[in-house]
Amino acid sequence: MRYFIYAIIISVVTFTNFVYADEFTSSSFRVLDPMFFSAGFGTSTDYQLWSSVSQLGIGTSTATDFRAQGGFLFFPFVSTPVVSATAGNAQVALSWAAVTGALGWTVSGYNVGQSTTAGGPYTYSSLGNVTSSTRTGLANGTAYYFIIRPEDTFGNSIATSSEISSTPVAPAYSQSAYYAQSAYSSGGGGTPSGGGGGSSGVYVVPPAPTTEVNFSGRAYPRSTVTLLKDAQIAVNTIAGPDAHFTIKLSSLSAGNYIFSLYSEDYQQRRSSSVTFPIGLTTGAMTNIGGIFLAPTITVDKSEVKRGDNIAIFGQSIPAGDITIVVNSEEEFFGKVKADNNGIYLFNFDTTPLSLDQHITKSKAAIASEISSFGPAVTFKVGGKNVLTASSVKCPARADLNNDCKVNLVDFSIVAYWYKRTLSAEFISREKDKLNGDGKITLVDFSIMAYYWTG
Amino acid sequence: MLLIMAHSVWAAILSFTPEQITVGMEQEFAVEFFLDTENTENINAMEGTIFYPHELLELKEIQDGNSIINFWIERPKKSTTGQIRFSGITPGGYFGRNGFIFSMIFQAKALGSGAVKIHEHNVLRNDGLGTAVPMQIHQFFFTVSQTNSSAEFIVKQEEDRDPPEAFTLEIAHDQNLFGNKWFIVFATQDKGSGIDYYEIQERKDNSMQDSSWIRAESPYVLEDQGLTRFIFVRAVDKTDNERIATRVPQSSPPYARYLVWIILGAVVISYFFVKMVWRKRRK
Repeated sequence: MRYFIYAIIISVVTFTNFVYADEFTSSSFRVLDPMFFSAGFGTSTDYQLWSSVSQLGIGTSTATDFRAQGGFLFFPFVSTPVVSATAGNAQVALSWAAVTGALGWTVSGYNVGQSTTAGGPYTYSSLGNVTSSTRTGLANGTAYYFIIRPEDTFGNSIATSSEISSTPVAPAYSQSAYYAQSAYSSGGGGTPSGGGGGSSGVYVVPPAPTTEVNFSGRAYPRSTVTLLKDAQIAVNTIAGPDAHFTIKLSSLSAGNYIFSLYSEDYQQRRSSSVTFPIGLTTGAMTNIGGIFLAPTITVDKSEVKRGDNIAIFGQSIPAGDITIVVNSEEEFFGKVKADNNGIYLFNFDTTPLSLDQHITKSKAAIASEISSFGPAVTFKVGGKNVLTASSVKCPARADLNNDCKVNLVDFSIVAYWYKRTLSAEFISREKDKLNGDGKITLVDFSIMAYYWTG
Repeated sequence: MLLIMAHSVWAAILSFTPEQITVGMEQEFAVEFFLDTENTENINAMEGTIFYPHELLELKEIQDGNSIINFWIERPKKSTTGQIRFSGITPGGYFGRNGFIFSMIFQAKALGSGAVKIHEHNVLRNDGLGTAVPMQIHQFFFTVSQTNSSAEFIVKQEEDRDPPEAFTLEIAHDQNLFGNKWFIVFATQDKGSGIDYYEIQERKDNSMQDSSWIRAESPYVLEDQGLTRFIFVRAVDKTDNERIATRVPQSSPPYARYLVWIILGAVVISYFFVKMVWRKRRK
């Protein structure tokens, strides 16, 4: 037992400067800052790495005088990849944004799982550390289902994307080719059948190939979801009571697009934007599935008296597991479950926080899907309580004309002052809405692009 | 640790494709300019100046259709000075390995070797603060020789039948701009050859006239400050495909307001007239 205690102390001292975690407590001992390792990673001929100071398995650590929690209140973190699938001729092109691990996980590669049955089983292929893959040799007209699984340095899968489906299609004929083939076929009596039966050949106008893109994922129950196409609003839609949304955009040209998507919760608080740079192919359908918007977040006090609680709340998916982080010199983690409307509330005791500014942010999880962290909000720990002003619904910055939007009008106003001496009135606006250096530079445009609403 | 430090020196790459080429005299060739964010950075603004030896190369054209830049602050322009200045933003940010910025069509005009370089570059993170990102720059090297090259980068004319993307028109005024007059803003992209120019016309009725188009740039100060006219903006790409956006009048014209009062007056007069006639008949 004594050696075990020594091992705990050595482990704590040696490995635990990274994060602050929940404490194991009892009336007779405390285990502070336990570190999480996946078992079996530390091997060598000349050293041994203690893998964990927790129990060996959930529920196996029992005694009459202490209680061990079935895990820590945080874990190494990686967001779920959002995958796009573009159908081609006997192939499907997959792409996804690189996922970033945190708190101990480093993404070192990806596997693709492929199946002709929704939900699998999948045949997996290792791809290496890439963010796109074209699956070839597929049958046109058959629906294929794919998942992407990032893996850590040791080859363990650490997340699984939502399943995305795509159906390879034969290329559409160009009009001239179609006509030529029709004429040939009618004259020769062979296939294809598109030419009709006349002996002189019949010109049939082929259907125009449709280039389209579909988005699906989770926002907040009954929330407004806005899709921007190349920074301009393309579609507004309403998510269902289960927070799911789907958006279809068709009649697009082939080419590179940057799609952004955001939502507003029941109090018009904006989510973070998620962005998808996508190359569309003529006549092909691109599906982007598994979008998982991070929760919105706010606090009830802009300043809180040290030792008092601060309420951290917002909206996410119904019954989602919400992880809240308070960043201080150390990071504090909390977990709470959202209600059936996706609304969550976490009361945080500010006793351990220093008298300073702090930030808090949140992420959501359900089943095997995890969102990224949402926007951070700040609060001050001081000597008094100051309630937060009523919910701010307009962008915090860059809304130059105060219409609660950041769009081309604001861009035009700022662009007008680019490389010009600012007027006295505009200097105060620049200070209030942009970076406040008294001139318009690329930095001001970058701030504007960050707060862009379309 | 060394690996981590080495990797963190730069976070994005500006580069040209091809990296080097040998061409013959008078040959035209395309050089494409790319951003690679290494899949780790989200970039939303960039600027820079490209320098090329104008005694060896003539810049024939710049193509920015299909660019990851949504709004140009300084759109790259054809010049004869050996410098191409550019700056622009991508709202929401861009991350990826093949972010096409624009391409330059050069023609070799003298024998020799040289490089196309980027200076005064600045690439900013999509973090709400405009934090600069450490960059790695790859230059483009070329040699102009007597013999023609069969390289794949020799310019090929590509067909573009698609119109520019659909777009919307926004009107606004600002006390610091154009004497607080109403102005209109517009922007779109063309995924093929790129936008060539915009034209505008303001009309009393909802019909366009071919002879009324005027070249325009956004922002454009409206002639009709009463906002009583239909506004049409035509975006034309470099192969003459076009897309038109329309904005209906925001206010009714003054005569429309008088018309309402005239109709109301007529109704009131008719009412009293009918009432008077009805009373007379009862008597």
